[in-house]
Parts: sequence; C-alpha cells; structure tokens
Amino acid sequence: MKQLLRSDLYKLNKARYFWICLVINIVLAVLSVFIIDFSYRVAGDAMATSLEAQDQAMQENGVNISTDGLARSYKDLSASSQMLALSFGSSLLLIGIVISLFAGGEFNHGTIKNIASRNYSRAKIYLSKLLISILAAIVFTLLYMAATTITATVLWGFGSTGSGFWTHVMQVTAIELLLAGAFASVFYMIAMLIRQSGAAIAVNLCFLEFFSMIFMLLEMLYKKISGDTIVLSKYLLDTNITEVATKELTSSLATRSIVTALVYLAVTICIGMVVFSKKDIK
Amino acid sequence: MSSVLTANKVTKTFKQKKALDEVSMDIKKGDIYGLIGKNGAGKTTLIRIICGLAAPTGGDIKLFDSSDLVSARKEIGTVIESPAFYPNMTAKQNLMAQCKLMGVKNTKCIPKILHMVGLEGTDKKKAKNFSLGMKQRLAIALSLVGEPKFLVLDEPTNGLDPEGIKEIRELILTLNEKYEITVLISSHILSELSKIATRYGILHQGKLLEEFTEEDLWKKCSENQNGELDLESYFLQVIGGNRQ
Repeated sequence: MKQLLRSDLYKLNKARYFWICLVINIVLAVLSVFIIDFSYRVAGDAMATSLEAQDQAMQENGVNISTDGLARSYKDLSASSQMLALSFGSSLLLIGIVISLFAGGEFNHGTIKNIASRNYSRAKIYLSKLLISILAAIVFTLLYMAATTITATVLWGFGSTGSGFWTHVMQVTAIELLLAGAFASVFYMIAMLIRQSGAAIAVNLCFLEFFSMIFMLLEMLYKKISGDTIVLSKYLLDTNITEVATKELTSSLATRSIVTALVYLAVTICIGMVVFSKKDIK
Repeated sequence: MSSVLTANKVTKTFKQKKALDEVSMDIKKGDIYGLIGKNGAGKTTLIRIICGLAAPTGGDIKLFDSSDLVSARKEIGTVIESPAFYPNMTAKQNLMAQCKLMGVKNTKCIPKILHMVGLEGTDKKKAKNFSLGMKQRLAIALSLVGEPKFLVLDEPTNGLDPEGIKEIRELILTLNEKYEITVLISSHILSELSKIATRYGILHQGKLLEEFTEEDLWKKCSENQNGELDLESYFLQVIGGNRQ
C-alpha cells in the first residue's frame, strides 16, 4: 500500500495540471478578496440593508441560505472576522477537475492496466488514489485559506481576536477539511465509475452546480405549496461547508457536519470500491 | 519442470457469447509460449484474465503453482494491447513511477532497462512525442521493472519496423536464455513467432485447439521454399479443420 501511495504521489507531483490548478486556486483566492473589498467600497452604507433584504427574501422563499458571517459594512472587515467565511468551498471546482484528471487519466492512458496487473488488490488501488485525492483537496483548501487570509490582512488588517479564537479556527478548519475530503471522495468515485477524465469533469461539475440547486428548488416548492419550511439541504456537503464557516459552531452543527461528511465518505467508498473491484478493465 | 501458469478450464462469457470456452493450458518455466489465433479468437481476453484485468466466468488460474494470484503477480510483467504510459512524462519518469509502484529502491536499473529496449538518450523527450515504435519499447521497458520471472506480451511488436522487430526478438531471447524469464507472447506475425517460441497454442473461437512444441512443429510442417518453419500454413490447416 505504501508503494502504491508513493507511486500515486509521484505521478500527481509530475502532473502539470495539478500545478496549474494550484496556481489558479491561489490567484482566485487573492482576487476574491479584492472583489469583496471593491464590493464593500462601492456599496458603502447600503451593504447592511442589502444583506438584510437578501436574508429576508431567502427565508420567504424557503431557501436555507443566510448571510451570517458576512460583515455589514466596510469598517467591519478584517482578516480575522472574514477568514473562515472566505476560505472554504471556493476551491471545490478546481479540486473536482484535478481529481477527474488524476483518476480518469489512468483509464484514458491505459496505465490502470500496468497497476491492476501487478500485486495489488483492486481495493488497495482504489484506496491509494482516494487518499491522494483527499490529500490534494486538503492542500488546495489550506492554500486557498492561506492566500485569502494573507490578502485580507494586507487590505483590512488582521483585526482583534478574542480568547479561544485560534481554537475555534482550528475546530472549524478540521471540520471543513473533513467536508472537503468527503467532496473529494464523491468526485473520485464519479471519476472511477465513468473511467474517462473528460466525462468525469463534466459530471463532477454538474454535481457541484446542480445537486444542491435541486434540493433548494425542492425546498422552495414545498414552501410554496404547503407554507411550511423543510430543510433538506442541511444534509448536503456544501451547505455544511457554508454553515460551519459562517455560523456559530454549536455541538449540534459540528456533529451534523461530521456525520454528514462521514456518511458521504462511507457511501462513496463502498460504491466506488465494489464497482471498481467487480468490473473488468479494458 | 515447475509450472509458471496453469489455466484450468478457463471460461469467459460476455452476455450470451463465450469468448473463452474451457481453455486449459500449462506454461512451464523457461518456455517462450506463442499464443496464436485470428482476430477475436480470445487471445487478449485470456491474457487479461491471466493479468487480473478481467475475472473468468468459470475455471481457475494458478501462477507459479499458487492460487494467490494477487501476490504472484509481483513476479509478472505485462504489455497488453496498446502501449500504456504517462504521456507527459519522459521514459525515465515513467520507469521511476513504475519503480515506486513495484517497491524497487535501486533506481540504477532504469538506465539499464532503457538501454535494453533501445531508449537510451531519450531523457528530455516526453513520451507523447515518441514514435509508435518507441512507445512500444517503453511499454516493454515498464514490464521489465521489478525483474519479473514471467512476461506476458500481447502483440509486443505492433508498430515496429523490421529492425525493431528483430531487436525485440533478440531481447526476448536474451531475457529467456540469460535471465531465465518465461514468456507468453501473442502475435499475428507468425514468421517472427516461429523464430523464438518453444511452445505454441492455437486459440480459435475461444477454444484452445492444439498445443505443440517447436519439435512437434518441425515434424508436422512442410518446409516452405526458404527452408523455414511453415507455422502459418499449419495454423491455417488447424483452424480450417475446425471451422463451423
């Protein structure tokens, strides 16, 4: 297993797409902070009103999205206050692309034959690439976090922090990395089922864009029809990523997020491993 | 002599069609086993099953007299159908990845393997820019990582020019004679196969029709005008006799 991991790590290290996507990830992180800075400067005092109106509209339509965690005015902006809200969830697109190329590429090039015909079980081959995919997701997420924090510090200053700040940051970061790992597992499972990098990228992007949108539409529809609010989206990975980063980290939120991530991990690993083990490699 | 590969009534069915029908074969240590058959006879299907890329529907396989095929495959090297490598890496980097996969710590074997297949001096060239012949050589080089005892080569001379075919033939003979590597090779170029194989198996419509040694072939074949073994005529005679 160690040898499989070393080989997969070597291949990822040599993959040009990995480094290109990593640089884009960092550039996007920096740009996102500049865009927020510009938005707040332009909006001025109207930002608070705008965010409140947005919150109200979402609630009226039964959509489970809030603007908690976002500063209400430019003077409230600081790296420490925005660090968590800015850092998580934005790398997922690039993570999906990298994992699709990494896993799907083995089938495109036929090199999966070189691996599967050696002394490794299908389960170990699946797990090795999964672990490297999760590692890539963690690297992307942490680098995005570092880039946004550094840029925000330069633009707004770090700001004051209370006691327990860094403990809170580490707790949130740990849960966010687990959620990013769960996302990576979904992307990886899809790539291994499809066995083709181009199609895997397309399906993973559709999953990222449309999966939670479908749940949101269902919530809106339920609200319109019954007048009651139903929250299906709290069991989605991206909802948990947003809520953990922006809301107060209560024990129920933390538990729900951790369980959600673990369930997604377990289900995707089971499905992916079983299908990969049973299906012939052509 | 111990067996390297024992296939016992191996069957592979795709939907309603039998790609392999109770194929039994035994490859002994030191053999160069030539697997002959028309397109669609089942050669690649059999090779895929031997290499663990496909599971048989029936029957079983033993490698080095062991049923633990996952462990036994540490000792085999494979080239299956088209050459498989990472196109954006050089030959050396491809071999390095394979060394890491096989747990080969001494990477001094890489220049040696590149020299054996005639790819020395390709340090900076990415594999995607190789000619077809070079790609085929790289695939063979990858199969040699880890000092395998058994090489399974599916059409290894595809795309090679006559000089390249001769070099690969000599390489296979050297690997067999000097390093005692057993070889299973499938090829359409029967004239080339007849120059190296010590045993043959004829696969036709999923069935192993006949197995014979090089000596048997001498006895059974008539020589053609060049005084060479007429494997092609014998092959056509055998499958012609079994046409449905």
